Amino acid sequence: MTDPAPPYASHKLLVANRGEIAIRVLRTARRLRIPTVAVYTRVDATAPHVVLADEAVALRPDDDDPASNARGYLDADAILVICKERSVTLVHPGYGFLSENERFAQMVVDAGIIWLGPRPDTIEAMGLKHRAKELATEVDVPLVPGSKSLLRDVEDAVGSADTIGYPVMLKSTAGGGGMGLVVCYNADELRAKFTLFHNDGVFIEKYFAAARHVEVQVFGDGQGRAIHMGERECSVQRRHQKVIEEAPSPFMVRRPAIQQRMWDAAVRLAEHVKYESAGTIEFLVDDATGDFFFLEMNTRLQVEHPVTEQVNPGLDIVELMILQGVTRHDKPTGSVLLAHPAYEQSVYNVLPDKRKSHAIEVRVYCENPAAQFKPSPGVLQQVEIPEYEWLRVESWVESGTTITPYFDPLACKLIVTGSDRSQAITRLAQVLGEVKIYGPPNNLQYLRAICESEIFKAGSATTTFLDTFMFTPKAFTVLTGGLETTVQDYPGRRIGLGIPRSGPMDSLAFRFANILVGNDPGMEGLELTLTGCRLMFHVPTVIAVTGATVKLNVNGTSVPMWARLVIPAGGKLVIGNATGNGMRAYLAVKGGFPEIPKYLGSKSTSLGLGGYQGRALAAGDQIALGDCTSSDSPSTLTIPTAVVPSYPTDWAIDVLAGPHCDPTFVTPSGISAFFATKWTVSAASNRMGVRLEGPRIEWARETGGEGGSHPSNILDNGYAFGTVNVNGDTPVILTNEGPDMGGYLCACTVASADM
Amino acid sequence: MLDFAIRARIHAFETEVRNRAIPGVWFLAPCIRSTMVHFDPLVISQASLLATLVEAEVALPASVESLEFPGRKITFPVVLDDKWNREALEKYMRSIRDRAVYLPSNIEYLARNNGLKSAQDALKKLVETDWLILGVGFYLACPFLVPIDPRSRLVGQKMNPSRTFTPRGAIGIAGPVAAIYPIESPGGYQLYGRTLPPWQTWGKGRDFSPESPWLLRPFDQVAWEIVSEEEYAQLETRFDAGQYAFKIEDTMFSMADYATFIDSIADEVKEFKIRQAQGAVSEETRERELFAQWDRTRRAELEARQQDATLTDTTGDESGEHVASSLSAHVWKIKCAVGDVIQSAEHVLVVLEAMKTEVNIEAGEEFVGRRVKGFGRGAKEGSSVSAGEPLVYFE
Repeated sequence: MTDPAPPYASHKLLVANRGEIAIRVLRTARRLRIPTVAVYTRVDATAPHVVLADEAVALRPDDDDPASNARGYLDADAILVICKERSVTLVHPGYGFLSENERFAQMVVDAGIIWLGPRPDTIEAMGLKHRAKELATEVDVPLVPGSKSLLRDVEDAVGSADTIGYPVMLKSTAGGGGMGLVVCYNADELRAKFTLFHNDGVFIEKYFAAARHVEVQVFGDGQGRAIHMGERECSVQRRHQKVIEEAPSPFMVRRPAIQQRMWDAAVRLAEHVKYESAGTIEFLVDDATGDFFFLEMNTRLQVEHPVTEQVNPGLDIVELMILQGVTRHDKPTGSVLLAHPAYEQSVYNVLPDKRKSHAIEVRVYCENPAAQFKPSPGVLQQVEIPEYEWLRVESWVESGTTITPYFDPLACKLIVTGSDRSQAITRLAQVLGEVKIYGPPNNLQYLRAICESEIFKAGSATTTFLDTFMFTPKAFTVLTGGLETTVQDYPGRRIGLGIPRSGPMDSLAFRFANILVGNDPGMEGLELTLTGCRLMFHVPTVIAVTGATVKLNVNGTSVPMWARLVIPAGGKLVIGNATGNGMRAYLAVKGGFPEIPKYLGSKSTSLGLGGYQGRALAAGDQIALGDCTSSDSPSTLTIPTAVVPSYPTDWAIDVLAGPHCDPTFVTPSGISAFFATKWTVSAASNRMGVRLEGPRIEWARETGGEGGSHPSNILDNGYAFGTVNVNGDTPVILTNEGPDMGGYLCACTVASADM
Repeated sequence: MLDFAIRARIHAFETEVRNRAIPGVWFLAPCIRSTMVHFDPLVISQASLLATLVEAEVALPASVESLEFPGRKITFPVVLDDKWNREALEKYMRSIRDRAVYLPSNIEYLARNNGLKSAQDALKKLVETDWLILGVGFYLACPFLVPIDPRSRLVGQKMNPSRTFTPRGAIGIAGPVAAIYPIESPGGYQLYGRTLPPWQTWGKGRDFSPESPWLLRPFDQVAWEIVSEEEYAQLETRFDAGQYAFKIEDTMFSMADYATFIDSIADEVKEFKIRQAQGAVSEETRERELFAQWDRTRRAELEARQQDATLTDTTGDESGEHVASSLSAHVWKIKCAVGDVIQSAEHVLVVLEAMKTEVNIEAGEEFVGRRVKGFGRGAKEGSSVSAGEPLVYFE
């Protein structure tokens, strides 16, 4: 848009932020060839914003506590020191953190550094609700009708309500919580409910049963000139947290006259306060009448700014912020709006019928819609986002990124653009179906459900839409995980190099379970160890449990093992502890777990890798399901008793002797004794190996020579699946997580069929 | 015995086997003196596989003396006698074994065990030679390597018992072989330095990919570049961010050149081996005594603890449904008492402590409304419990 080289030659820009917005700002700075400085806290040391910047400086490097260290992004003093040390000339605060902290803005300005945002006094004024409202009133920007001051008593309230008109909302200055807001539809109700508010400061406001959230992007030159860049609608929100944002507003495009009035009001307010840089003026809009009312002004770059950029080709709000900052710095009366005709208001005054595009943004959060949107930190085991020319991705995550509990769990923003709203929605649904962000739960399925809802598609969503939006994830939730319940598939990994094959220890029972539910026999399922688990299935699901004998019930009703079962929606499956001799039970689910990604070719959990977060399942985990519902008739299917494996106490297993079954290592009588002994399985056995307790080995030698001091030591030797090596004096049958080589001699190898 | 000619022959054999692309062969796992062929018996029978392997072996030249093996020479930045490994050893001395021939310093032990004057001498020998990768395996593509120069081939015993913790990237020696730990893990090798791990879980960076998160292959060579702890910390961060690129050059391992080199230093090698053998004998003798002492103390303590447990084990009824420890840990605080009725699934019963972190053990939904009737054997403040061990029993 502008010639980048000359104006910024002497500048250096610091981004006082992290995550996607830091990357967003750095991208523009790099395009403009401005040297950049990133700041980061401990958990972000390898984050992409650090990698992307020309310089990166650690915040609070000596603070070892990750939680307090993570607050480094709020440490105004530390960031200012870095600015000075690194000769920074421009500071972009992004959103959140210090972006609306007037003290920090002032410190930056006082240090002679350009603050890429509004003046500190503007930030302060707009941060004070009453002051912001005064300023709006001064230029006839309408406020939500309400009592001018705190109510004296119940009659005062009724009087005010009569003026405003019902329904009204009683609000407490103490604010917050359920008691803070009470809706009254008539005077009687108002009199009755007023008494709920004891001595608190109470005021009254007009209540709108159906309202929209529409906001106008403005930009000012700090001299009293401002423009708008059109509006955005963010009515799809959950507890004041925006979920989907779009431009233009589907509500306003049907009401161009109101739209123009809103734009004008926004510009009036921005010019009135001599607003500088980018800002957003938020309005509440009565869905019934289109009347709009000033809510607040956000004195920063907004999360949802990309939708405005997408419908205004060529617009880069960050670039404009930099340009304005530098222009004013070089000449106090400088105005980027005057200097650059591209920023003329006429560019943005596009009538709805002349609009060529529509943009929608969704925020992908690592939070669980099925658990009150609780943040779900963890490792993103697979991140795969498709590329389309109509898809803009603002992301900071990739496969292997850890979402920590210290920050907002935003993973990325997906912004689609279409020639009209319906095309944008079609594209959004497509992308939401294609994006893979596999790890702890996120809101992708939820976003997709919203995107496919009739209300959203019709552009009819109001701010309370999500309050009653029903969403059921295709998933099960772990209520209790048991001792070691892991995701396994068969045959696991076959690549060698000491990467264990992993997979189910009892692959026969495992495959039976899959066959019962109609899966490929090797499909991923759960392996349970000794203790059972409790799972809640959100949707009807076909399952089967096999392996060691366990008690099973669904919603309290006892059900059989080795049989196909259908769990109803919301059903609880309780798998009890292993009761017989068997140790491991298996659960197969029709369709498997499509959102568990493969690692090195398998979904099996092994050595902290693969499976669900590389670990055993724990209470609160949620695993997404695929095509888990029975499509065929609900006829029962069971494994005939004759075929069900038994789990006896005594096992005779077939082995192939060698290679160290030799008098060089063990005496001939010792070799005979080894095979004749009835060994006992040790409690210390695990998925790496079955440890055997029994008599001492009759060694034929004193030491292992070059291999080690113990006669069981050798230099090294390959281990097969089922090899019995002798670890000191303990024979160990190497199993699914066993090593593939090592320094212990190997007496024999168990036949695969007996494993 | 460690013999380069045998290892070279294995390498030549594997190359020959791979060229034949035998169906059903999953992979080969070469060691120092052998290789193991892992195959699918449903695709190829043992007999026909063996026949093919014999053919491959017969196709090799009688002697490997003239062979050359292509590989890469990769430079690893290394911190010698680093603080991370020292911390791992301190932890070992606190929690596992406090006196052993290899304590308090693995490096000083290596010096003595190899007839060297000082730890500095040992470290110098370990980095002044290039090393040859002989095997990649065990767990997560752990490389096993030996010094190309026989005068640098230090030997050491494995720690007994093993450590429970080793930092990733740690380099240690056991027998005549060194390993670079790919991830944080238990281990028993004698540690002397720390380098960047040859494993990158997510395959980030130029030298890795998601399909191959490991770096090294047999017959690669490793050279060392000494860095400080501060430099290492920076390199490690770059490594984790996928920004580090190892210095890698193509090279050739010539058996003929190697033989010439060995001949040229034969006397020195002989002398080194004599002193090494003397050192090893005296260290082994010392270790036998120290181990016996430690073993006696340990057994005595174990008996005392068992005695104590039987005396104080009056914590109520121990049977039936219970909440178990989800991990091996110390019991920090017991937050419930016999007779308590569980109010919510989040009701904290016991606070465990593991790796300096407090872990709340909650009652869980199934025990809401149930009454505590007793505690598990290990559920005493200050004692330790293992994963799966019952903590609290319910009526």
